[in-house]
Amino acid sequence: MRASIDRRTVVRGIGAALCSVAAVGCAGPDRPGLDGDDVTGITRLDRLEGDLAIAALANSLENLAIATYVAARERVARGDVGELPPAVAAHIDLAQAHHEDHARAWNGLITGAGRPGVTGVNLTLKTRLEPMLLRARDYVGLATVFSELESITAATYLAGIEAMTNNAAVKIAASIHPVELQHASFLNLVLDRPPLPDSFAKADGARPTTDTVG
Amino acid sequence: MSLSPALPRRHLLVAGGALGAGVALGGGLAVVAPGLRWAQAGGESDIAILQTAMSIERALVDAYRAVSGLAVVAGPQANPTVATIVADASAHHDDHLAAFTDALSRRDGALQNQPSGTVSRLVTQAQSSLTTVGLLVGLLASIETVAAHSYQNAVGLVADSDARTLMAAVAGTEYQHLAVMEVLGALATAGALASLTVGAGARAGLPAGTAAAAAPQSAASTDEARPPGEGAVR
Repeated sequence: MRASIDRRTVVRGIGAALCSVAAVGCAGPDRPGLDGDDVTGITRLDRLEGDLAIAALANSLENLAIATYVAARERVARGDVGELPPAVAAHIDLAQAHHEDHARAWNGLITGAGRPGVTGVNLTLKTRLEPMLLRARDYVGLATVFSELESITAATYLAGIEAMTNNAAVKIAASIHPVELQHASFLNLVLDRPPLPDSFAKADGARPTTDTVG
Repeated sequence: MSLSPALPRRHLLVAGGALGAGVALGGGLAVVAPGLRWAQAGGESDIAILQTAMSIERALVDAYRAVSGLAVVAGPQANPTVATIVADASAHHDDHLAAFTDALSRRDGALQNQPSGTVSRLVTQAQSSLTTVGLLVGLLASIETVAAHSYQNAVGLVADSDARTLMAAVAGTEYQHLAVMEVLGALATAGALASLTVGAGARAGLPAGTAAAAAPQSAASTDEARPPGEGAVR
């Protein structure tokens, strides 16, 4: 099940609009890597400055989320994981589409600042999650990986909202943060965990800009 | 110093620094992204915005207390998962009200003890008809929407980073409340509330539509945000 086209169009529009407002040629996501780095190799986010580093971090997490949901679907198709319940299959499609919109929004911000877009995934977090994904043999295993990913991404957004100073970037983060939390709540329902565990969203487990991307 | 003791200050990320000379700041965003409305503050202070938040939260606390004793929540036939969700959300709103009260007190701002009229009217209009889970969560989703949109809007308006973090942390939880209420509504409509058995392990029986009910959009909206100074103590 796909997300409403209106909201997806808006999120894409935010990124594209920032490019046009900046009057800077937007390279788009086809230019991989970060400024000054070997675009085919691993790079560090903290080689960017300030809010750009945070935006790139967010982008790398969105790219990892996309890759994770694609990989999960591929494992199901190969028969490595049992049949998915309808709600989990729907979540995979929906969440992937959302994360694609999120990645486009961040790439729009970054390229609007005259930097190459981030096409790599957050390798530091991938190192932790990939073994879990490969060990998953059923929808519970997959949902557990997704839950971890969505929760860490949400925590990183909250930390970013606190740290960033560019208002456009803050607004992008603020519009995406709740969606990751909604994904996490849904996965809690699937996993029979408390869907509303905390009074306040938390930044615990937020990824830092020292993470690597590749 | 964090304004809310519930939010430990984290500085994991690089702070400060502009994105670059080429990127225009917030004002342009509202013009070029009309589907994502960021209500302009009209110069409202952080205190006024916090007072508005306090009034909204007070109305939510009152609403949850009003529905907690209903048969659909507390009666012998009530679904225990629904009852737990309502109780958890109610407790969260108590914490949110305390956090906004604390934030105002730290800033020597007057406390707003009047509940939001908008939220209160929604409850009053629906209260006598809340005989099913579907009707109950429909009301709760409506008032959570007002809160979530208002606090998310406030994230882009408040000047102080501690206030911004508080608004984002509370908004995030309200959006989770909204997600869960929408899932309950979808289950009620499908006659599938029984799939919410407690303690039975992972739930394979949730209908496909519950995924989109929980997270219908890729970006959170502020369409139903209350004016940021509506609850200001003048």
